[in-house]
Amino acid sequence: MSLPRHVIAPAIAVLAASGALLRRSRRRQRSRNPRPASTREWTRHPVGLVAGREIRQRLRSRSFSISVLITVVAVAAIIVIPSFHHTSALRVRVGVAPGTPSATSALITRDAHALGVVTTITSFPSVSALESALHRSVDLAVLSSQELLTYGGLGASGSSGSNFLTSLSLSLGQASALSAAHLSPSQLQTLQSAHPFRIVALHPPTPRRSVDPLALVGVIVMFMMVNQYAQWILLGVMEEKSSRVVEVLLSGLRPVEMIGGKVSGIGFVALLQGGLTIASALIASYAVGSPLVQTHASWTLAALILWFLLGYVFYSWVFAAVGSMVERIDQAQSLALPFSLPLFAGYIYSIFEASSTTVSTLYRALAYFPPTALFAMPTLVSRGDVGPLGFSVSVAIDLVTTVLVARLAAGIYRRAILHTGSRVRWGDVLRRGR
Amino acid sequence: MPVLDISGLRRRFGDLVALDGLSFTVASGVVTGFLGPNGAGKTTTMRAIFGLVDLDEGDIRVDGHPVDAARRQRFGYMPEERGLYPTMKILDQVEYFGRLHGLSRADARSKGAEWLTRLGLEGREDAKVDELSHGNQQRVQLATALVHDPDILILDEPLSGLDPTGIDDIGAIIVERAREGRAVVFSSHQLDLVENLCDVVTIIDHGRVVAHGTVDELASAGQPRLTVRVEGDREGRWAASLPGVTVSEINGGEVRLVLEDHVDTDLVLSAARAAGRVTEFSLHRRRLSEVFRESLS
Repeated sequence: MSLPRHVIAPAIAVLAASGALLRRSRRRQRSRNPRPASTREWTRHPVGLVAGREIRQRLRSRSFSISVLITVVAVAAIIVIPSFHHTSALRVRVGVAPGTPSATSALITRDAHALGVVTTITSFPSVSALESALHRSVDLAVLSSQELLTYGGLGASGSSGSNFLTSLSLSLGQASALSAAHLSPSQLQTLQSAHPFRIVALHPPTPRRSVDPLALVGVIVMFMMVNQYAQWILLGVMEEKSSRVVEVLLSGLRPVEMIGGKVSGIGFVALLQGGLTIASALIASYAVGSPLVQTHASWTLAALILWFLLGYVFYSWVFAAVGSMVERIDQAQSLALPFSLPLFAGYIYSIFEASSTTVSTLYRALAYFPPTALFAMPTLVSRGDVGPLGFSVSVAIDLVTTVLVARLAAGIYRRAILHTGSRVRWGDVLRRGR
Repeated sequence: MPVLDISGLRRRFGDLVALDGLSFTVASGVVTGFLGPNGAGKTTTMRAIFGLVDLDEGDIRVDGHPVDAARRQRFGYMPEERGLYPTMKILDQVEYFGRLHGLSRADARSKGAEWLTRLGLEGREDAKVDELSHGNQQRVQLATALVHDPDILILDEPLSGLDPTGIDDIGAIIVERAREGRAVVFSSHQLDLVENLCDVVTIIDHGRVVAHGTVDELASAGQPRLTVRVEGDREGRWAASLPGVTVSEINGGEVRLVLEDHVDTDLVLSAARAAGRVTEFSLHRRRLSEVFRESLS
């Protein structure tokens, strides 16, 4: 059972690193920005206040309700709809004519069980009665003349009905031959207990791995949510800039507190939506017995949640910086496009890889590249294609990169956010000073 | 006692010198007018006080201590470009800004409601900002600056765009805050209003202080001034050729003259009589508008 280690060890590392970063940040903040003791509680901390406002505003918005409804219904539909097409066990009504071998019923039951076919066996007093019942109350008639009668077959070639018919025909033929051979009981038992030869390949092919539906659904939902909430960050920052409220806010807050509060608040809303989505997915899966809930599903789910958080935080800082540079939606779209491309590319590539039987080297490499790791790493975890070390390294790379991106984004934000009029140029915000 | 000490501020934006060694002090208990032409550096200075602009050089202290985030909690700010959340209810908004400045939720809400009532917005607490008129938005903006009872109040153009009632209301609050011991700095291009409201005036140009003092000091300083009104000569043509006399303002027939020290006022009166019947002839102090123009020239 290696999967737990894939998630537990990195999760501990993430928590430890987060704790260390938080303590360091608090120490630095206290030294720079001493606050009265009474304001140290989270709910009165500036980050908490900004986050609280974001949570209240977003939860009241109609767009959030619609978004949650769409996601929950879409995920439930993805799980439930395939079950409508799932073929239930074939039921075959078998009629047995008088004079057939005594082992007939046992052979019918054995072959049906082997092929997942459910049978009901009825003995008829005469062949004429059986033939008249055919098609009305009997699907298959077994006659003493070594014939199997059907009205129109039991299904197309290759179907379970057709396979059952072929198998039963062979079994009854063999039983009849064995009976005619007049073998001793021990000879008969030897023949009946025959085992097939074991097949051994000297160079076995790579086993085909089945597609993990949880990873596939998870990647889709994660893309929708990261894209949506990163856009909220961008538009929220842009709105504060265009409405000029940001100058009043920054007269009492540091930029990092401002963005941190926004990322935390919207992140909380995102987790709320994620929780509702997961709950609906689990309920739907258990209700229809979907293969989404498998033995290792909880570890894939844990990896998806962890990487959703990492990916959301990474992209939030990027989009906050972009939002601080623009005042109009068209400017935001053009400036955000280059930063959205890795998100879209990673998502599309992951959908492709999650549905394939093998994983490319390029895809493995993308699991260590923070802009695409949020999709690639959970997919690899679901397939058992990454070890604990690889997982931990990817998490560490993502954390370090996110811290660097956050510092850069905070710098861009503080230089760009009060610049109004024409769009801010990259050269202006990458220089020191504001 | 000076509470806000601004010393040697320098800031360049590319080739533009925004602040060029700017220094002045702001005392508590008085209203300080912060004046200057467009582009003089007023907004940059105000932003620098709040750490919104990085300085190349200079120091800003409060009661001798460097201004940090904790001390800025006791500042109130009304920026030139008004900023509020357009779709947030106004009482929620004032409460939010109060809490950002350290008030408890209950205090922020009660004080926010008090200020909205004081500013004439009683009954509109649940209105959204974008449902209000420009003047009322300005009142909400002032409430967000006042809700935490700041020690230092910095207001960039707080009176622009207001009707006379609004100017009276906000002007009264500005003076009242100062009389209660707060330091109040505000900028405005409405110089008559500044003259009425302010105790001290600082005038800057090209990032430097060009005049600083009490309104009385500035008004009584400089050369002697005369106000003369002559029937039949509303443009003051009679004074244009008098040696040592400069026409500083002409307003509805009232001609304001600046005299060089050696000029005899009797000679000026004689010249005026020669032009027509003199209906007004008085010595006067400088108006703030004259101080402003002369400081810049």
